[in-house]
Parts: sequence; structure tokens; C-alpha cells
Amino acid sequence: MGIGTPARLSAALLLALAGCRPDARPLARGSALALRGAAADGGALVWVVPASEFRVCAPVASTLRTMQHPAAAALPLVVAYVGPHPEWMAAYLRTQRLRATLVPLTEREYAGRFGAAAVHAVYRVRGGRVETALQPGDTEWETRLRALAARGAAGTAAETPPRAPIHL
Amino acid sequence: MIRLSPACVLIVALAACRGERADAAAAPREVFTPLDAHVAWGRTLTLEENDDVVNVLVRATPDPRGGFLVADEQENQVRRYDANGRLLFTFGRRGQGPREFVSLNRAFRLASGDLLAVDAASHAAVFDSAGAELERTFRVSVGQLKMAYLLNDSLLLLGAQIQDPRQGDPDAHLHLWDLRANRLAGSFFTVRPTTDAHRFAANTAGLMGAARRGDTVAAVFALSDTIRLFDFAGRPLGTIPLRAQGLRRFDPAMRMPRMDLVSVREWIGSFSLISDLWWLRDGSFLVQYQDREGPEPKWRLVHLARDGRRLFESKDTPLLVAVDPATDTLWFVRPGSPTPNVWASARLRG
Repeated sequence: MGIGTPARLSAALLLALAGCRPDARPLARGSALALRGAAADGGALVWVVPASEFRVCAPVASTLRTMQHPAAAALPLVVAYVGPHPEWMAAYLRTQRLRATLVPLTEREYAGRFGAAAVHAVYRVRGGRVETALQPGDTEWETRLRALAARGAAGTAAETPPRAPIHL
Repeated sequence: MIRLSPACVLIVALAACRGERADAAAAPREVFTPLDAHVAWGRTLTLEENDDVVNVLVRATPDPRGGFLVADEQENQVRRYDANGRLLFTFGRRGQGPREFVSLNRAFRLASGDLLAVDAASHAAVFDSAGAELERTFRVSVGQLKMAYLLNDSLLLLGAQIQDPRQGDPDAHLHLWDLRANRLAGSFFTVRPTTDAHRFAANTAGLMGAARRGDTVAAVFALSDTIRLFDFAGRPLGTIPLRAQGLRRFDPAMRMPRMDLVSVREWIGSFSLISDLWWLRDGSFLVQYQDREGPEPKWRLVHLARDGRRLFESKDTPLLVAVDPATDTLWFVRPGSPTPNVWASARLRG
């Protein structure tokens, strides 16, 4: 094993785990994104997680959890997990103490329903349509996500609190 | 010299065959036994929560002043709880500022009463006894931490790998940090990977556990079925075989996984990871290990005599979060609790 092996491994891992898809874009504003668990006429947050980009160390869950406190003011959260092993995401939501509706989809199902490959993103949807899309890694994305949720929460405080996560 | 007749040899051979057949026909011996057979459960402790305090991924250390210091890696918050679970105070949050953490690992009480919080991203901070005032922050130049353990008021044991070979041996996994001199005092516990798969597993899943008894440190590494003993200077004192029968041992000859997250998780789930170690007052050890199903650990607990002999081994145990060194009281997440803030005490049955 050469001296460079650890560096090569790290570089390979980083590339693989980064899930780089330079041409991938989140769904555009106005796109249909109706999923079980999101009120048909109300607002919701939809977190789309391709299995290939499901990184447990990323702070997305932490930010979303913060937004669920207090619970009464939280937007419903729907997690669309796209790919194999949806039970992994179910377990993750439990350990992260996120109240969410999990919608497991295959890549083919997602592409068939929404017309594009799944991209890691958090969407603010209303009435089944995308209002705003944020991608983890965007500039100041956490701040923007908080603002997004706060804006949503202000107008939807009377909505039903999100359901408990489903257990697969 | 004893001579065996051909008939005698045949009889012996047949007897051996019968014995093997009898063994094969018998039910396989159960490796694991229920935890309830080995511990007596005590009281339930519910850690207080509120809108700003949610226990997610916690590492708890018994506080010498009573109760527990809980470090939450996900919330990057240190919490002090009293012995009844009442929240006394908190400090820390996610961020890069002076009172903030990015990957909080553990918190300790120093003899002075001050609190030491160690971030896995290689910095540590000392707060006053109430967590109100930040007294100092310092970097620990050992790479991403897998484990932190306070040996005494001047030595902090860190599980990590030094990234820059000029700073030390990259294969050394334990480091002594001198808290008074604020410098690295020694590195040891070398693991020399023999294959690419071995190095990859060590880098990505190289958990560490440590415990002390008197002036001896016991330490475990995720991929090694041996407890190693050291003195406080890092000099090796011996090894103890970790005779866990349910351990799915890592095979360095196994093929590397494909480099995507799903494949890597499936691969890491194909062997056990030794995760933590406690050294009890009678000299025996509790070793917690995990078999992962994706991101979720399935916990196993093995109790070993001082010589490594297996006393019991249980699977699908609740997470053992802390052991009180003064009383050997075990604190588990309460069996069946969906959240990690509800604990149950237990004592090993004699």
C-alpha cells in the first residue's frame, strides 16, 4: 500500500459522498410536489433526500428540528426519501426526533411523478406546488431555511401539528 | 509405548464420528442471553427537556458533584442534570464562535470545578462551574476526535488520528493531551492497516473506547478484539482478549465497498464495531459494541472477566450511556423508550 493510499481513499470517498451532480437542479417554483402528509391547501416543508446523498452528519436535521420547536408553530414536514433502504431514513428520523411523514420512493417513481431526478433540497410548498427551494450548501442556506420556516410558521400557526414519523 | 489394535482405532474413530454427529444434531448454543437475566433494573430517570433542550445524540459523564453532564453532538449543547433528571443549566450551541461547537463530543468536570467541553473538530473549551463564563478555548492538534476521556486533572485522553505525519504517527489512535501545558504529551495505540479495506474501515468507522482503573488505562478500538492496557505515559502494559462470541469480526481481506453512501453503509454493516468500554470495581469489563443497520446502531453488551473470559453477552440491548464509577450503577436508555432522555438504572446481578 503506497503512501498516497489514504489520500486517494479520502479523495475518492469525498467525491463519492459529495454526490456531485453539477447539472442537477431542484424543482422550479410552481412545480407540482404533492406528497402524502402535506396539506392539500396548506403549507408544508418537503425535504427530498436521495439515498446517495443521505449524510447523517449534515446539519439539515438539526435545523429542521429547531424549527419544530415549539411544535404548535411548526409547519408539517414531509420527507421524500428516494432510493433503497427507506428503513434507514425512518430510523434516522426517530433518532433525530423529527416529526415527519416519510414518503419512500424509488428513483423511477420520483422521476415519473415529478419529471426529474431527485435532488437533495428542502422545499416550501403550498397547495402541492413549490414556492421556494433551498439546497443544502447554498449560500447561507441555514439562515434562509430558518427564515423560510419562520415566514411559513407565521401564517400557519393554526395548522395541525405534524404527524409522528411512520415506522417501516 | 501403547499400541492400538486396528479394531481399537476403528472404535475410536467411530466414537469420534458419533460425537461429531451428536454435536451437529444438537441445537446451536445460544451466544446471547437476555440482558434481564444479568441486570436488576432500578429507577427511571427522565432528563428534563423544553423548547430549547432536546436530547438527540448524547454522551453522558457522571458529574462528581452529582447528576450528569450530558454532551449532545447533534445539538452541540452541554447540559447539567441533577440525579433526578432536573435540568440545572445548559451552555453551547452550534456554530464557530467562542461558546459554540460544531461536533461536541463530551463534557467533564475538572477538579477545580470548572467544566471542560471537548469538540470533535479538535478544539476544547473550559467554562466556569456553572457553565456561565467561558474561561479559555484551545485547539487540540490531533484531527477529528472519535473519543475523549478525562484521565485526571492534567491529562485528557483523545481518540483520533493525526492527519499531518510531521505532527506525529498517523496510525496512532490515542493521544495524551496535557491540559496544564496545553500540548500533546504522547501518542500510542498504533493500528497499522494491512489492506486498503482495513485502512478505509479504520478511517471511517474507527471508534474508540477507554476506561481507567488506578493508574492503568484500558482502551478498545472498533475493529480489534483486544483490550489494550497502558500506563498514563502511553506505555503498553498488556492485552486482554475480547472473547465476545457474537462479535462479527472485521476481515482485513474483505473487498472495498463501492464508493457511494449506500454501499459504504451496507459494507460497514457487515462487521461489528466495538464502541465503548467500562472498567468495573471488581476488575471486570463491560464492552458495548454495535452492528449497524444503515445509520442505526444495534447495541450488544458483553461482560468480561479481568482475564477476558466472557461472563455474559446480550444483543439488542438499550444503549448503555454511563456507569457510575463510585457505585457501578449502570445507566441505560430505558428499554423501549423511543427517546434517549429516559434512562433506567441497573445493577449487575451477583
